[in-house]
Amino acid sequence: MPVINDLYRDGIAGGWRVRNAAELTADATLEADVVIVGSGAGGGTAAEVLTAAGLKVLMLEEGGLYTATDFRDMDELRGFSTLYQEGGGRMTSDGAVAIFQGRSVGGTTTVNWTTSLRTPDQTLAHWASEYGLKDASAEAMAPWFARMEERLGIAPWAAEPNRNNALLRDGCQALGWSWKTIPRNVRGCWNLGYCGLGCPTNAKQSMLVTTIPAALAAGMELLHHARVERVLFDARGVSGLSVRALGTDLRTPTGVTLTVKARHYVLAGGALNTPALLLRSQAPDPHELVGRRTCIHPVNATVALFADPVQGFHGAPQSIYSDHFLWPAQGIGYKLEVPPLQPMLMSGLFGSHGEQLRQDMARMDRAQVNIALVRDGFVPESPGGTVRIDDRGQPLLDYDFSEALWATLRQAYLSMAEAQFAAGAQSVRAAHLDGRDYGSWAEAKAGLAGIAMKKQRVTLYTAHLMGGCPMGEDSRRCVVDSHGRHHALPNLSIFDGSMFPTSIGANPQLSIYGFVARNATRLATALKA
Amino acid sequence: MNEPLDGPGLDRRRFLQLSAGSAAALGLAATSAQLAGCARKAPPPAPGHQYLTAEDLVLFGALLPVVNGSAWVDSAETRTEALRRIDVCCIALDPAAQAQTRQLLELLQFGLFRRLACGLSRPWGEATHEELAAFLQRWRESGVELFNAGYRGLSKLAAIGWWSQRASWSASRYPGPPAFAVQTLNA
Repeated sequence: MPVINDLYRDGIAGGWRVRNAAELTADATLEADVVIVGSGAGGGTAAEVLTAAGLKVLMLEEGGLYTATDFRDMDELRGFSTLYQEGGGRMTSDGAVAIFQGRSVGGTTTVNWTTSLRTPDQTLAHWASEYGLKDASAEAMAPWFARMEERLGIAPWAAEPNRNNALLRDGCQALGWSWKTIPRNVRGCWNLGYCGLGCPTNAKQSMLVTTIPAALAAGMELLHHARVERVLFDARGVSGLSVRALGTDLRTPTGVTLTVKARHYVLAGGALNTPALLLRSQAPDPHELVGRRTCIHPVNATVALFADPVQGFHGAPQSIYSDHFLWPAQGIGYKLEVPPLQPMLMSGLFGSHGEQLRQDMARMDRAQVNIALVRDGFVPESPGGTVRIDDRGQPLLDYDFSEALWATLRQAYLSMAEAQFAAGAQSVRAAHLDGRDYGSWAEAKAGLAGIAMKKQRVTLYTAHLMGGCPMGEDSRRCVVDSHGRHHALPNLSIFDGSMFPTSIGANPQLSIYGFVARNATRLATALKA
Repeated sequence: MNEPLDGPGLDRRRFLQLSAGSAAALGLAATSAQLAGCARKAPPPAPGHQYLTAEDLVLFGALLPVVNGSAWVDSAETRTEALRRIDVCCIALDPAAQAQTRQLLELLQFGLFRRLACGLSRPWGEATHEELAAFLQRWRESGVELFNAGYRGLSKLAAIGWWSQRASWSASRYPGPPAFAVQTLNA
């Protein structure tokens, strides 16, 4: 008898309606009150709210269904190749930024590192003043965040941070910089450190183990291995979806096509796939907004070596953050956090090869890594990127770096290195093709001042995709209204990271949960009226 | 090289224009490669693989010990497993990224490009460790963004091929997932 129950095996045995589209042998038409495209933070939250209101809901997911049973090996390649978009190899169109985004039931919530922060007040104020976002002040949003915190067990991490996180805290403390303990969406966490590969204990309160099971228990139908090819339109709005069943390889269509009809359509495929779906469907977009201003919280990193073991491969991956540099009086701010340090991910971070890589990896257990997440999209010098589609309709993200963004990333290198030396690092290196081990803060300061800030030389990541279908009252600047309903298509809502007018300045999951809980509740009321 | 590129990052024509940069001889190489590229149909995946061709297997087989240094434990088993893992990574990419990667791998098989852009006089399977290391270093240090991208792509795949394997753990002092959890969860 396994110690961790398989929610889905048990649920399906008890009557949950979960189907694998790969097994379908004939075209069919499916009907529901509401169809939700995508099963991540937005789709999962909407599913629970809408089924609880008594609506008949169908959820479509392009990826596969994997559960705690599949996660017991805690193996990096298995995790990335099955649970991430493009097997973890997704990149911006020019290859300059690696993109970590989930692709399975639960979406990115299945693989995120559990950091659960509310949308900053400054961000909400910016959206209200610049985009005409209504009813979304800090006061108006607080009950929605509180509701989702309660639902998902979100609370500041009560255990001692692992040393990778503790050293970020110590560095900030020594320098007099503010830092905080990260609230995490976990219940009964074993503190293993493998959140990014799927939680093997069902402790992480992802959509996979919370809202989706609740919605299934309330009668929702889930169809996975199902890629929405096109949104169909008629004079009244959306008239249906054309869906392709994917084979067991999750790539090749089986030839079975499904047509989905619903009263209302919710797009929640994330900030690359939702704009791409609208673009390939040639959805009305009179102001050419769809896919524009896509923000990514560009991430750079520094690697420090300590005399004693850090062992950042074990323990809750993120438990400390610093917003000391997030809201500067001038320029673009950034947030400081740390990543988990397992070997496959680390081998790419060093950006070295040969004997240098051998040596870097041999010292991996003494490495501490800081990351900076840049708050893009708030100023004209940082307009975000653009989602477009390739000749098969798949998303491509173009993202360029202005001088202002490069200056911010350089400043972030400096802050991260300064914190690491303040915490007692023996050496610090920028994750950069010209990175070398600086032996002191003075040396690092001089070296980083002159390091080339250009694509491919700077090692860049993103795990946060935001924007492309912004919400707000001004239809010349926003695709959906303040409650996520499309300005031109009354029976279409967008409930995912693409709704944000800029980046958030915090890890997105709780922002998505809070806004979607609010927007889906309003939608349920409207549909029941 | 800060100007935005129109299209895929490892676009064949851009690569060739850049490798052609200063020398007339490279211009000839580019033209020849394009002609050859037009004429050549990409070979099918090697038996047991979904993406990598027999030529790709030779290329990555040559790069594995060079990218991973003396941490690499060379055996038929680690090699087969590394190549399988690289294949898994490539086939998971979206079609556009698969096509970009294929363009790069095809270019690397083109003799004139290999000689002039990679500095390798012999085919991948015959080049020495030192020659391959010099190629990686050349693309790493290049001021040309696309060569840097090629370096990152090739070295990342070769690194994943090894450092995702359990056989590599002793070289990174990675103990694997906590033993108590592995035992309890897999009991």
